[in-house]
Amino acid sequence: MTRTAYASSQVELRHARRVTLLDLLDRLLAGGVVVRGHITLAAADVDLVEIDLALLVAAAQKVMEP
Amino acid sequence: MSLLVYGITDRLHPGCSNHGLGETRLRAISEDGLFAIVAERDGMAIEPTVEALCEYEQAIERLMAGEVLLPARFASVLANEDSVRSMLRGRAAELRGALDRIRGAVEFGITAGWRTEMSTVATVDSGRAYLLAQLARHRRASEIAELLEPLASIARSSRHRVLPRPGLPVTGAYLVDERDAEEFIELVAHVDEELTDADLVCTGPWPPFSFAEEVSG
Repeated sequence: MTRTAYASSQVELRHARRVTLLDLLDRLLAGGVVVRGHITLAAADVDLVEIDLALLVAAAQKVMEP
Repeated sequence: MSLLVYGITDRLHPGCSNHGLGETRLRAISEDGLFAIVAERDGMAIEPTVEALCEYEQAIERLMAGEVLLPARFASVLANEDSVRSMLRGRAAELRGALDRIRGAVEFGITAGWRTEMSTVATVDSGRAYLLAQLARHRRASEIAELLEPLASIARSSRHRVLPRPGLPVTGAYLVDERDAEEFIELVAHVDEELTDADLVCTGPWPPFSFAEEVSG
């Protein structure tokens, strides 16, 4: 999955790829049209996006390993 | 049997006979000229793993090939076909408006990161110095947001956040006409060259996830 349209020459490729993956995950978890009846994946009183992104950062880094 | 909704369109296209998560077969349910692209959930657990999210995004991409699709938020499940039809009927005007808003456009993301560690204000040792450092960081992040304004001018719609996290002065999402995508990326490079203390990463093109819902204010 490479969808980095542009990265400053100061930015390492690895960092740019990580930003790209996190950007995608953020969109998928927090974006899209909300269909009524949407299943809540989060634990009670815990913000879904925050908790998932926190967990996913580690997973994402693992995926991005060459 | 519950159904996982992938997206909504007003034009059926070959992509809807494709597959979704776990190779499940996609199909369309129509109501009042709108189509929901769905797959049987069939007891399948829908966990937000990196792999599942990427697989979901790829299914959306296939569905979007050459056609408009309002992507559904990941893990949108409705109880049955009647629920889907009811949703399409009840929200027809809103969904048509959203489809018109994103038709022919893609989304780009912008992340601005500090070049030097301006976020490490914790190293200052007095309360006053800490607050001044925070203020300087906020001020500079706002200036960077202003420098990004030309990007919004060629986008159909945009939104940004100033200092969403200490290490990121600005993040933004831009809905751009497909025909303007190249120009948008060139402009990102131009703006990036003018930044002395921050660097830009532009991601995309993505399905317009950030613009599927109208945001007020």
